[in-house]
Parts: sequence; C-alpha cells; structure tokens
Amino acid sequence: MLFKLGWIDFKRNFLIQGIIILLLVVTFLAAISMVSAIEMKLKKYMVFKEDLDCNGIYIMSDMIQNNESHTLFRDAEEIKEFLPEAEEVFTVAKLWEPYVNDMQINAWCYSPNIINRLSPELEEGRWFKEQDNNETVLKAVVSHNEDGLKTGDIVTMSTPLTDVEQKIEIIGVLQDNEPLFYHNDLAQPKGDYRDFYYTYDYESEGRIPLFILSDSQILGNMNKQEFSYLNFRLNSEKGFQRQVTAGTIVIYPDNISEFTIRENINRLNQESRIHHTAALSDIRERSQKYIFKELNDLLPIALCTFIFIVVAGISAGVISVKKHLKNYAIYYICGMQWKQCLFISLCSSLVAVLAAVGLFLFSIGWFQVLGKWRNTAMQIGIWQMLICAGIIFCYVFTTWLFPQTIVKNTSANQILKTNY
Amino acid sequence: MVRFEKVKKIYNIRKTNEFEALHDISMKIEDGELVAITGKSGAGKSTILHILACIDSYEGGSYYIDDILVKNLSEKKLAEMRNERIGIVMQDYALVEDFTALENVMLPLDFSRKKKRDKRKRALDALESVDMVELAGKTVSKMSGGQKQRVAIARAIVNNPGILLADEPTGALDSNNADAIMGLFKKINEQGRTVIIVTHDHDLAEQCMRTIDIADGHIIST
Repeated sequence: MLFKLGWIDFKRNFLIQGIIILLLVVTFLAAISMVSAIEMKLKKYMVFKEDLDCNGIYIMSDMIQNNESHTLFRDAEEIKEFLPEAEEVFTVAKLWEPYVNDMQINAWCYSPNIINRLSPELEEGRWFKEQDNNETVLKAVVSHNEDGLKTGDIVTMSTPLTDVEQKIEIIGVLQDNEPLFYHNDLAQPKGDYRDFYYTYDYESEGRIPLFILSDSQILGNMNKQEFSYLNFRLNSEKGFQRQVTAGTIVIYPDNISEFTIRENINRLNQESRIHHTAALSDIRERSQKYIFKELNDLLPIALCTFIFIVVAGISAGVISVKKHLKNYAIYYICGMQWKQCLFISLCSSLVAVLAAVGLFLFSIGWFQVLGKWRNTAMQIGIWQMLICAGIIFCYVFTTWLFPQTIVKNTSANQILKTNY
Repeated sequence: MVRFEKVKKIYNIRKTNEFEALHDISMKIEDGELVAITGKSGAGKSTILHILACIDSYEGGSYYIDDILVKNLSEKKLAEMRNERIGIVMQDYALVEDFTALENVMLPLDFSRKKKRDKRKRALDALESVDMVELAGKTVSKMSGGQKQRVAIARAIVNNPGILLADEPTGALDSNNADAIMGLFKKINEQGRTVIIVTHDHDLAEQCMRTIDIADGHIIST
C-alpha cells in the first residue's frame, strides 16, 4: 500500500522527480568515468609495481648494440649475458619488415616476463598461456584491425629480406588503443610508469596491424624446426631478423650499487642509441605522486557530486513531504500511522532511483549498440557498481532523513485543524 | 459505547500559553445513538471530536470505546481504531483531490490490517449507499460540495465501523445538500451505527436524538 502511494506521489511530483532522475544518471556516468579512469591508471601501474620496488633501471632506446661483438641485441638473454650483474631483463624486440598475406605488419616479440605480467583488454580471443609454449604453431595476438584478421585465423608471415615463411595462429585481437609495453622514442618521457606504455592506434599507425609474439614460445623452442627462422640478427640474410628496441627494464640484486648500474649503462651505450634512462625507484616515486595527484584532482569533482546528491536528496524529500502533508493527514484518518508517511516519501524516492538506474542502463546499452561505448574509457566493474550503490544510498538516506524533521514537528491533528 | 470520564485536555503544557480546553468532561454515548455536540466557536467541540476519533490525545481522565481504554495506546493500535472502529467525516471533506471517488473510498480498505476480499465491490457498495456509485470513476476535484461530502461519508462507513464521527459536516453546504447529508446520517444511524455530529447549527442538532451542549470546555447539558 505504502509503495503504491509512493508511486502516486512520484507521479504527482514528476517534474522534480524527472530532474532528479536526470541528475542521478549524470552522476552515475560521472562517477563511473572517474572510477574507470583511476582504475585504468592503477591497473597499468600495478602491472609493474613489484618490479618498481626492485633495484634497477629503465632504458628508453631505439637501438641497443653489443660493443664487443658489434651486433644488435636480439633478446633479453643476450642483454643479460652482457650485463652479468643483472638479475632480470624485460625486452621488446621488433622483427624487420614482416608481412602477412602480402600485407605489411608490425611484429613485436615480448620477453617472457612481459608476457606473464600483461593482460591487455581484448576484443576477442585470449592472451598467451603457458600451454602455448609447447605448441608447434606460433601464436600471436594482433591489434584491432580492419583487415579481417581475427581469432582462429592461421596466416603466413613472410619477409622480403629473405625467402622464409612462418605459420602463425591468431589467438586474440586487442582492443583498439589498448596501451602496450613499448617506448616510442618520439614521446617525451614523463618519468613515471606511463613511460612503459604505448598506445597502438590502428589508424595512427597507418592501418598497419601489429602482431605480438611471445619469446616464451619462440626462444623456448629454438631447437624445433617450426621456429628455426625466428631469431636472426639484422643483416644476417637469414630468417626473420630482429633487434631489441623501445623500452628495456633491467633489474639488479639489491646489493648492486647505483654506480655499478651506471657503469653498465655506459658500457651498453657505447654503440647504442639510448635516449633516456630512469632508475626504477625514481619511476616508482613519480608514479605514486602522479596517481596521488590524479586522485587529488578528482577530489573536488567527487565532493561536488556528493554535495549535489545530498542537496538533491534533501530538496526532493522535503518538497515531497511538505507538498503531500495534507494527503498524509487524510491517510492518517483512514488508518495510517503518522510516521508511515516517511515511508511513502521514501518509496517515491526509490521509484526515482529505479527509474534512474533503468535510464542509465538503457543509455549504456544504447551506446554499446551504436558502438560508441568502446570509445569511452568507462567500464562497469565491481568498483563502479559500488560507487553507484553508494550514490544511491546517499540519495535515499537524505530523502528519508531530512523530512523526519518536518514530520516530527508536525502532527496530523495540526494539519487537519488547519486544512479541514 | 463511547464513554468519557473526567477527560481533561491541555494545550501547550508547561509553556507560557498553556490552555485547558476541556475541563473534566464526563459523558456516555450508547450504541446506536444519534448525538449532536453543540456549542459556540471555541467551546471545545472539535477537541472532543478529535479525542473521540483518536486523532488527539488527552491529559487527564479516561476515554473508553466499547470498554477499551484509549490511553497510552501505541501508534499502531490507534491507527487500527481509526481504521476499523471509527469513521470520520470532516467539514471540508478531507478527500484526496486527484483520486477518484472509488479510490478515496478504498483507502480505509487498503490500510486495513485484515485482508479484505472484494475491496472494490465493498467500496462500490458504500458509494451506492450514498447514491454516488455512478460517479465512482469521477475525480473528486470535479465534484460539487454535496457530492464530495457523500463520498466522504462512503469512505467513513466502508470498513463498517461502529462509530461515525462528523465535524460540522454541513458547514460548507447549502441547505438542500445539508438536508440530504443529514438524511444520510439518519439512514446510517438506523442501520445500528452510533453517529456523533459536532455542529453549531441548532436546527441540525434538533434532528438528533440527543444534544450535548459544550461551553468553555464544560458540558452544560446532555
């Protein structure tokens, strides 16, 4: 009965309630955007958080050459051999002039530790799994593309530099603009974890698809016939030629001094093109400052949102109760308890909330149907739902709490005497 | 039966404008009586009615409905009383203006703790008893004063209460409508219900079985 009367009150106040509904929807969208933005930043930081706690260095370069053999490094193991004090090395190696089905592609080979840490957002398919290392068909995850490359396709990779071919099975397709581990040497370093990432935009890259390959599979199976063409040096005139490029992380044991690390880098830089280096501890510190600053910047927005909701709740609740006091007095005559009018007001608010949630979900669905949702940074996850639940609770609580002062300071008797 | 035993009503207790509206009022109204409570404006008539209707409390004495002491009852119990034992008709009808006649009459049925079948039929029957069934679907705001008061009476009797209270029920009506409404009260009384009408209209009071005169919070005659 009370819910029915609450619904009737909602209809009576439809103009104000309509504004409240729109306000709630906008608030949901704003809250989800903020949480999604923070979540994305945190997620990218958390991928390498443990590594940033280690003693090490991040090298941003487009070419790293061994000054003893005068050859370009091909993979993480070669760098680790060159730097005997290093404990672990993370690399990206690019293949020279790869083609698939006569179409130019980019191909990056990630070292095993990067493969294990990353879990980028995919349009379809999956990321690499440990079981792939034993497969004899080379696996690849490709970027978003409009060339018809999709999960399950078996394609043939070739190169004009030599006569070799390599069968590749596509196991997943990345979402467009998904940040990947890579340093673009044209980008100005920011000094924090963002330098680890590069956004591969299909259109900006001249509509050239990117193939990500796993060195776990390649280097782990070099003795196998199927992978024998995949790890050749540049200018070797054999196989697919590759070199380490972009970003390289080198981790040292804690007892290795900064001086030793600097010596290593100087040795590495004898015949390399290293644009910039940064100690992992510095990157960690700046990353934390950056994330904290981002949170801080969002705080005024979050506070305004909270104030908005509280004011809306108070206004809606108080206006509704004051407007309907005469009717509540009539319900009182008919057998309602006076305090139950608060529940009628609460039910009216719940109807508004349900309508707002419905409209919000409809909007998201509509965005998805139009294909626009992907272009936003918004996601619906547990944190976003919790924040929206918090907003709803805040609103409903204020619509219930503040009208209590009106109801407690008024009696049905007073209303009846005044009006009837 | 309704019984007041030295009932006292004080407004603004312990404030500078403390005022004793009823002074030890004692009266008894038997089942099936048609009683008018009369007096000048400010005599305490409406105060008595509000206490009878369980809308207002009192500070001294005792008030009984059918030997049930109405004192320090819970909100829930008082609401039950108003819903099941008492029907109330106010001077300005006290109807929800944007509800239809039927929706107004169904309100006490909807608030009833007892599950009632055929609520709609019961409401229509109540409207029929006041000759308003043809206008069941009409919004109250579009009705005349006489029609509204009939709807108010139908709402007051729909739950079959033993007592019907009316506060100046003809105060806002012309003489023809007033006569018609008084006719309805008599008809309801003939069905066995106790009807208590608060009025300052002596012509109306004379149509009742008995008159209780109030002045300055005291009963002058019963």
